[in-house]
Amino acid sequence: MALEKQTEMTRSDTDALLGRHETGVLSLARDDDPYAIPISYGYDADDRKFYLRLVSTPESEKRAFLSSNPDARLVVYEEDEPTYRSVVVTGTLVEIPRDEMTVEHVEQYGDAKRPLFEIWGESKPDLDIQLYELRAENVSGRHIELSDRHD
Amino acid sequence: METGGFIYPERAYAQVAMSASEEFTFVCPSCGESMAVNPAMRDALVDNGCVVCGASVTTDAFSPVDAPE
Repeated sequence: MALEKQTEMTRSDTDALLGRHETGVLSLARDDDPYAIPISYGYDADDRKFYLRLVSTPESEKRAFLSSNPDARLVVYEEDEPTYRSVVVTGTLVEIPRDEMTVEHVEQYGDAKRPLFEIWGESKPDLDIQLYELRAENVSGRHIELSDRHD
Repeated sequence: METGGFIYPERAYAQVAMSASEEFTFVCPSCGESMAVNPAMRDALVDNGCVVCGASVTTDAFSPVDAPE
C-alpha cells in the first residue's frame, strides 16, 4: 500500500477525534530529561482545555516533572483503516488547587476516566492525586489515507 | 398579634438566602478527600462523582456545616 500525503484536519474533525477518545500520551521534559505517561482526560472543545488527574507518590518520578506550570505535549491517535488520524496538543499544565474548584471543574472532571488506581500498591487515601488543566496553545490534527495502489 | 402561621416575607427571604449559601462538608468515601461545598457543588458532585478520584458519591457523603449562633 502506498502512503498518501498527510493532510491537516479541520478544527471540527480535530475536536471530534479528541471527543471520541479519553486517553492519550502526555509528555513532559526537564532540561534534557524526557518523561511520558499514558493519561486519561476530559476535553472541553469550546475552551480547548483538557482536564487531567495525575496520581503520584512521594517517591515518584512524576512529581519531579510537575514543576510550576510545565510545558506539555499530549498525543491522541487512532487507526481506522484506511485512515490514520493523530492530534498533537502543546500547552501549559496548570494545577487546580482544591480551593479553586468550581461546578464547571466538577462537570469536566466527571467526563475524564478515573485513573487506574490499581496500578499503585497504595490505597487511594495514601496516593497524591492532583488535578490539572492542560491549557492548549496549539492543537494540530493530521490524517493520512492509505491507498491500495502500488507504485 | 396572632400571625396564624403567616411567614413574614423578610423572614422567608432570609430562609431561602441562608439555604442558598449553606455549606456542606463533603468527605469522599473512596479517597477521603474533604472539602466545604455549597448546594450547587454538592449537586455537581453527586451527578459527576468525586472530583478528585472519580468515585460515585451519594448525598450520604455530605453533612451540613453547623450555622453560627
